[in-house]
Amino acid sequence: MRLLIVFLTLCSMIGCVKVEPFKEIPAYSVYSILNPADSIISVFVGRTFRTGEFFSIDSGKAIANARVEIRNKSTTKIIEFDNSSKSYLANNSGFLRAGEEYYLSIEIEDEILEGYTLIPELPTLKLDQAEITANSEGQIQVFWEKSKLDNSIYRLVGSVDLRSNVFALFYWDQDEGVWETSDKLNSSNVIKSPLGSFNFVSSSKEAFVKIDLFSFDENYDDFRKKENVFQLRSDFSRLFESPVIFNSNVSNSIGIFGSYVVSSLNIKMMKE
Amino acid sequence: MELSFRRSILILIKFMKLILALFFLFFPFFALCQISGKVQDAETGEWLSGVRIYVNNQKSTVQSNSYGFFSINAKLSDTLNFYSVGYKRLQYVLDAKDFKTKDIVNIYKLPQEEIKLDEVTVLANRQELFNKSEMSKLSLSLADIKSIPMILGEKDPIKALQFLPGIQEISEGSASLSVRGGSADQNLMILDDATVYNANHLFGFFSTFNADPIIKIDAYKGAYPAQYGGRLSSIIDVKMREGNKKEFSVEGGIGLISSRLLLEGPLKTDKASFLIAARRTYADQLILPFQSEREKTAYHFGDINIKLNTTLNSKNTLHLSSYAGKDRFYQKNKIPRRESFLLNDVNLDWSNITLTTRWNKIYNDRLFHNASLVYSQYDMNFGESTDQDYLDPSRFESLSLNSGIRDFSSKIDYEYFLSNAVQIKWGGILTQHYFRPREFSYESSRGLDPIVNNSIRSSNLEGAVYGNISGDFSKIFYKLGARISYFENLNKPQLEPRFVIGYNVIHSQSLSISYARMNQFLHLISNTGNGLPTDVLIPSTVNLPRGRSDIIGFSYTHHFNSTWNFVFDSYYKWIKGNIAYRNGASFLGIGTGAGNEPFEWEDNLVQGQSWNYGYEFLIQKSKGRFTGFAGYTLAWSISQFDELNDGKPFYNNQDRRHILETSLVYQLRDRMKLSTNFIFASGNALTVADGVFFTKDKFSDYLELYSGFNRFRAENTHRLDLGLNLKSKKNNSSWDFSIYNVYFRKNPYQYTSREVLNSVDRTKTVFIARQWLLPIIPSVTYNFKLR
Repeated sequence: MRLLIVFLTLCSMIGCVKVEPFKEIPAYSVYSILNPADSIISVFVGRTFRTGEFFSIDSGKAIANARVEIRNKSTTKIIEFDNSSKSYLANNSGFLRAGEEYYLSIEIEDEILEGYTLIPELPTLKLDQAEITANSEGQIQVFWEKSKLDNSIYRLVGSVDLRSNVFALFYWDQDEGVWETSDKLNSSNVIKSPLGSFNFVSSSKEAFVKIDLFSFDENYDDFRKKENVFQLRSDFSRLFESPVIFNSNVSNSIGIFGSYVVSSLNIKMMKE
Repeated sequence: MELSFRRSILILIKFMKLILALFFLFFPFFALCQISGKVQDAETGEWLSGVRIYVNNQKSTVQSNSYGFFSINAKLSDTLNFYSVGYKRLQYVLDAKDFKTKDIVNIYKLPQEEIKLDEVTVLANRQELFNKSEMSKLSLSLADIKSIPMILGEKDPIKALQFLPGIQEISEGSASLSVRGGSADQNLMILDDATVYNANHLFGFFSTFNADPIIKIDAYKGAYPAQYGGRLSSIIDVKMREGNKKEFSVEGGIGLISSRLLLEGPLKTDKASFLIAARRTYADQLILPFQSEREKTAYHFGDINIKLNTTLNSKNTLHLSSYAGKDRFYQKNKIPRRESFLLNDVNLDWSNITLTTRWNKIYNDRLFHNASLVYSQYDMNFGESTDQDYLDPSRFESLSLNSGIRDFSSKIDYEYFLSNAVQIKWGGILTQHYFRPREFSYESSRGLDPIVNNSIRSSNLEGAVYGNISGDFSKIFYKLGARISYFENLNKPQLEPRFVIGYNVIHSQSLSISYARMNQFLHLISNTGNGLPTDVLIPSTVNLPRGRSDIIGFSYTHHFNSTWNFVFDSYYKWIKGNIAYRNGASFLGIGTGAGNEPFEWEDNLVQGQSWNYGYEFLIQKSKGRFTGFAGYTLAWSISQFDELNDGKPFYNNQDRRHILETSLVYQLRDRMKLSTNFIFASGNALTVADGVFFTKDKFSDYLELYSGFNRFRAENTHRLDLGLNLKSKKNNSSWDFSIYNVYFRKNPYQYTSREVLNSVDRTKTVFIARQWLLPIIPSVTYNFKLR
C-alpha cells in the first residue's frame, strides 16, 4: 500500500503541466492600417463586447475620449477624434513614409495601448514581357526586387481597364507567403522574385492592364487573411472549420496596427 | 528514437540474446513432460481463448491463445484444471494416452455454465484469476455487450467499451473513442487482424461492428503487447466467432431501425464451420413512399460478416473472415421546368471491406504458428449532378469527390510455450498502403468550364518485427518486449520497447508497472473527430512526421474472490507529433483545395505534443444474480503547439476531469433481466468565442474574440439508460426493451455562437448556444433463435 501512495504522489508531481488560468477578454479594440499613399491617417478605437452583451447596430462601438498619437523617429502626430466617422483622424502630409517604423500609443483612462509597425519598402515592379498574340491571347510577366532583410508579404493583383475589351483568364494572386530565397536569383543583397504571369484575352487591338503589387507587413497580412476567412464562413461550414483566432499586435487590446504599400504598373499593349 | 537499419538489427540480435538467456534461466522446468492441446466450447465446438489452465500441485498457470491452443508441463496422473468465466470448471486427469498422441492434438471441451439464481459463490484459486501481466487491458465478451442497454436497441461492442474507465465517447452519442485523452484517430481498430479505418455508421452514431458475430473485444489502453503497433493511444482488437461446428442455427432480431440475421453451422461436423451475419437499417424504405416525387431523401446502412473455418488435420487449421459494410445517403430532386425537369442528384456513401485468411499450425507440443494475409479497404464517394433538360441545348454539370485507403498485409506470428511460467512470442507484419486522400473530377456542358480530374495518390510500405517474452511466477510476473517499426516515407526504423513487471503482494493482490512506446505513421484529417465519412487518411511525410507516444503505468489489482475484482490504474502518457488544425483551417469538401487547386494538407496541420495522465478505478462483479462494473476516472489531457495559443499549453478537447460510469445487470427471474447504465462526465474543453470586436463603428458585422484556445468548459454530461430482457419459456426468443436517456437530459453535442437581433432598439448580441441531439429514446427489439 505504501508503494501505491508513493506512486500516486509521484504521478501527481510529474503531472503538473501548467495551463494558464482564464483571462478576461481585453476591453478595447484597435484598428489602424497605414499606407503612405493615403491622405488621411485613421485609427479606430472601440470597445469589445462579451458574449451575451448587447451592442448597437448603428453606432456606439467607438471610444471618443482617448488620447491617440502616432510617432516615428523624429515626429509625434496627435490624432483627434472625428465625430462623423467615429474614428481618430489626421492628415498624412508626408508623415508616413515607406521603410520607416511607426509607434501607436493610446491612453484611455488608466490603460495604455501600444502598437508598432514597419511600413514595407516600396518595391519596384518591373515588366519582363508583355504581348498579345495574333489569336488575341495576351500575357504579361512581371518581377520585382526585394532586400534580403525585408519580411514583407507580397501579393500581385492584375486588373483590366474597363474601356478596353479585355477578358482576364485569371488573376495572378497566388502569393500568400514570403518569397523563398533562391541562390540563382541572388545578386548581392537583393532577391529577385520569380516571374508573375497575368493572362488575358483581348478582342480589341489594344489592351490597358494595370498590375498592382501589394506589400503588407506580416501582422496586417495575418489579420487580413483571417478576416477574409471569417467573413466567408457560413453557420454550417463553421462546424467543419477551426476557429479563426485573431492575434493582436496592440498591447492590452485586440486589433491591428499594420501597414502596406502598393506599387503599380500601367501597361498599354497593342496587338501584333 | 530513430535508428539506422544496421543498428536496429543489432538491437534485435541483442534482444534475441536476452530471450535466450531467459530461456536457459528457466530451463529446470523442462524436467516435466509437455502436454499440449486445444480448448473448445463443448456445445458449439468453437476454440476458446483466454482459458486459464493449471496443474493441481503447481503454482503457475498457462492461458490458451487466440486459437484455443495451450501447452503445459505435467506428468502422468496430474490433474489439469480449465477455468474460464461463463464455463464450468473442467478437471481432467492425465493418463498415458495423453502423452502418446504426439501426432494428434488433444481436445478439451468446456461445457457452458448455466446461470442459477441460487448460485453459491465459489472462491477461485489464485491460478484462476485473470492474467496479471496484461495490465491496462479491458475485455468484454458477447454476453457483456448484449446485456448493456444501447440507443435504439442497437447492441454495439465499441459503445459498450465507453462504460469502462479510461475510454470515453468523443461527443454525445458518438461511437468514436477517446482513450486516455487521445483523439479518435489514435485508436487502432482491428477485426480479425484487419484494420477497420472508419469504424462508424450513421455519421458516427453507431460503430461498424454488429454484436452478433463478435465473441470478444479486447481494448489495450497501455502496456501494449509487442505484436500490436501503429497507433498512439489504444488497440481495440475485435474477434469474430467461428460458427457452430456441431449444429445449424439461425438467430436474429427485429429492431426499430434495423433488423439482423445470423446463420451458422457445420460444413462438416466438428471439422469445418461457417457463420454469416448481416443487418440493415430500413428507415429509408419506410419513409420513401411518403416523400414527394419532387424531392426524395434517404439514408441507410448495412453490413455483413462472414467466417469460414476448416480443420485440415489435428495440427493445421484454416480461417477465413470477412466484413463489408456500407452507408449511403442520397437526395434526388426532380423540379418541373417548362415541359421538362431540372434533375439534381446528391449522393454520399462510404464503405469498409476487410478480408483475412489465416493458417494455424501446431509444430509440436510447444510451438504454435499463425500466418495471415489481410486486405482492408475504406472508400468515401461524394457526387452531385445536375441535368437541365429544359434548356436548349441541354446543360449538365457533375462533380465527384472520392477518398480512401487500401491495405495489403502479410503477417506471421509464433508462440513458444517454454515452460508453464514462460512464453515467447515473435513475428512480423508487412503492409502495403495505398492512400487515395483526394480524387476530384468535374464535368460540365458549358464550354468555358474546365474538365478536371485531380487525383492525389500515395503508396507506402509499413513493416514491423517484434519479440515478446512473458513469465508468471509465484511472486513475480513480467512481460518484456520490443517492436521495430518502419515506414517508407521516413526511412529510419523506430524502436518501441515495452515491458510489464509485477509483484504478487499476497494471495490475490498484485502490483505492476509498465512502459510502452508506440509510433503512428498515419494521420487522420478530421475537424470534428466524430468519425465523419469526410475524414481523410494521409501518410506521414518528412514535413509531417510520425507521432510517438510513451506511456508509463502503475496497476494494483485485488481479486476478492472469483466474483469481485478491483483494479486501480494510473498512467502518464507523453505524445510527440500529434496533429491539430491550424488556426482557421477548413476541411469542408476535404482540404483547402477546392476545384483544381492543390490539396495541401500539410499547410492545414500543425504538430505538437501532449501530456495525458490520470487515475482509473474499476470494480467488477462477474458472477451471481447481480453483475456489472463501475468505473471512475480522474484525468488530465493537455497539449502544446508552437502555432496555437501563442505556444502555451492548453487543455485538449477530450480533457474531462471526472468520469463515473456504471453498467449493472440484475437477474430478476430465470427469464427476466434488468440492466442499467449511468454515466457522468465533467464538461470538456472547447474553443468558443468569448466576445466580439469591430474594426469600424458603423459596421454591423463583427469579428469574434477568443480569450484563448479551449478555454470554454462545456456543461457536465450525465445520463441514465434502462433495459429489460424477457426470454421465452423455450429460451428461443426474447424481447429487449430499453430507454435511452431516461430523465431526458439535454447533454451538449456542441456549442455554436448565435445572434439575437432586437429590431426595436436596433441592438444585437452574440451568445453561445448549446446544441443537443439525443432526447429520451425508448426502443424495443425482438430476438429469436432457431435450431
